[in-house]
Amino acid sequence: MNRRRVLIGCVAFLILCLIAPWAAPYNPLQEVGEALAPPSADHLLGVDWIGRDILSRVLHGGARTLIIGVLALFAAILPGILIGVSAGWYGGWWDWLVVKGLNAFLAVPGLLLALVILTLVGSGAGQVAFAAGIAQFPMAAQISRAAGRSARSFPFVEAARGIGVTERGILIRHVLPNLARTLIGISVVSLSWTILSASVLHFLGFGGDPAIPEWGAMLAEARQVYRIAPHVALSPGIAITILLLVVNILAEYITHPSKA
Amino acid sequence: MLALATRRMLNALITIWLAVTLAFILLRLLPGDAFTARLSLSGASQTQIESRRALLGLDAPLLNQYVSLITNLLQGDLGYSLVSGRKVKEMILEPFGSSLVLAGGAMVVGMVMGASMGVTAALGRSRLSRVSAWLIAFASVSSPIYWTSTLAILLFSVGLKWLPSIGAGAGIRPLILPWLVLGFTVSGGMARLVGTVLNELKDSDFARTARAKGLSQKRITYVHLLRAGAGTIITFIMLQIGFLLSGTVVTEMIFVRPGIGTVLLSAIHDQDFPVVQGVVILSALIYCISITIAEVTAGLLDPRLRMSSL
Repeated sequence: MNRRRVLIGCVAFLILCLIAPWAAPYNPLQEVGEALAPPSADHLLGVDWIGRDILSRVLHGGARTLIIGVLALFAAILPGILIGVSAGWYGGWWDWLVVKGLNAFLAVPGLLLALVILTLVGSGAGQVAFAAGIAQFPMAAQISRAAGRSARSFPFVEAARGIGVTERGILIRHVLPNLARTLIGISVVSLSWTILSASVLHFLGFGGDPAIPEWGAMLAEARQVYRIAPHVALSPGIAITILLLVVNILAEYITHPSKA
Repeated sequence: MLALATRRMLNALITIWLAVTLAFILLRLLPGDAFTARLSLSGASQTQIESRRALLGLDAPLLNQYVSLITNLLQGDLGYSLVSGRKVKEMILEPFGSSLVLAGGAMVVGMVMGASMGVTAALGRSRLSRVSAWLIAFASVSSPIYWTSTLAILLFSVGLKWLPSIGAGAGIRPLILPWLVLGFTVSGGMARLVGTVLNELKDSDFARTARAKGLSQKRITYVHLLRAGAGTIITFIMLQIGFLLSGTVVTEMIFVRPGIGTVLLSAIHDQDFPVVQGVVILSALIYCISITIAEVTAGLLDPRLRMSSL
């Protein structure tokens, strides 16, 4: 497979997810068909338990899921990566402090941490994004720390030190650009994890208003009726697997370009 | 070796203490608590509520609460539930066995599935088998557990009627679906790790020597290569335990199986913070024990690690 084509395909898919709501045939919040009707020409994926068009809800849910993931990325993962890289790079007391702190965070399972944070900040999409991000933050910071640490012995770092560039200058001018691929890889892997945990939190009912289309919440609703109308559960489930597959493949292609 | 073990144990104690402190700070930021809410619902007067809160130590200054939490913990006391008034230790330890059976079985299933997928992805004979093993591993890390369980129930309970959709009851039958689903969720990460380790090791000198000696590929893979990568793999398995705990919560909820997960979810719902705190402490303890075991085992297996960590 052509590497460039796979990359473009993945990115194109993600952009399609973001603009998909405009392609939705119906209002995802409105009752437009007979409850639990199977797929038909009018409703390609069928109708859910109170008569809303599933296709429209799935298309809206994708954009929502991605936006929550990206919010989590900016709220918790990117700060985590910066903390990790700087700890690995500078070492000393800062590194010691970060490692001890991260260990304490890592000792609490991600979902548990997210649930504790949600009891603190209440439910809702923004809150879920924040909680899912925090849950993934220690892992991202730890991997970034290893990357920052490995940069200390790069030959060009020693060369820059030799000609008298300051440590901070080396970090910003040389180390960060060189670690860019690794750090973007970590971000994309974390994105897949935050999307996953955000959808689990929605499934568990912490996403706020359950009428708002989100795949995890849709599946939770569909579980009430899956014995009589299994098609209601299939669409959001398949949708989230496809989205996560694309994000994971993207991450794989960024971190291991040679194997592609 | 002894020095390494002592050092690790000390580190583990510090981690547990920090995790407990973290939980304490987070949970004390909560605006209300279950106790006050329940008492005011039942129509208790303000003075009654205050006297009961004082009895439980809820109105003491934070520092005092913290000190008593730590001293109680050192004596193995986790406090009382604000909702049922029961001992937190009992509430958590009672369903612990049930969760352990679920998580332990799933771990075994996941490791076997993951290792065989990883071996196939790295060393499979045909391109087709390699690519499909790789794709299954990706599907595993891309499928949230609530979705795989729903699918499994649809297929095996509703459709084929082979297995019950309720994960509780006597015998092993109710456990099969939860084990498979949770095991599949864990297997993807394992498969990718085993695949990477094998890809790195398969062209190493000792693998070539073993091949030159005329050993079968199977023997080389399972005895030589996987043993050389055992340190990394054991550490990974131990790191998966936290992830497994998260998966257990959702699995228990979906398969209506009583366990730590159900206790935790209702405690979160009721803002019953001593119970949530107890679960946090328990998982930190499990995490630290498994990490310590992993590090010491890795040190035993690979002398280089022993030297560098001293």
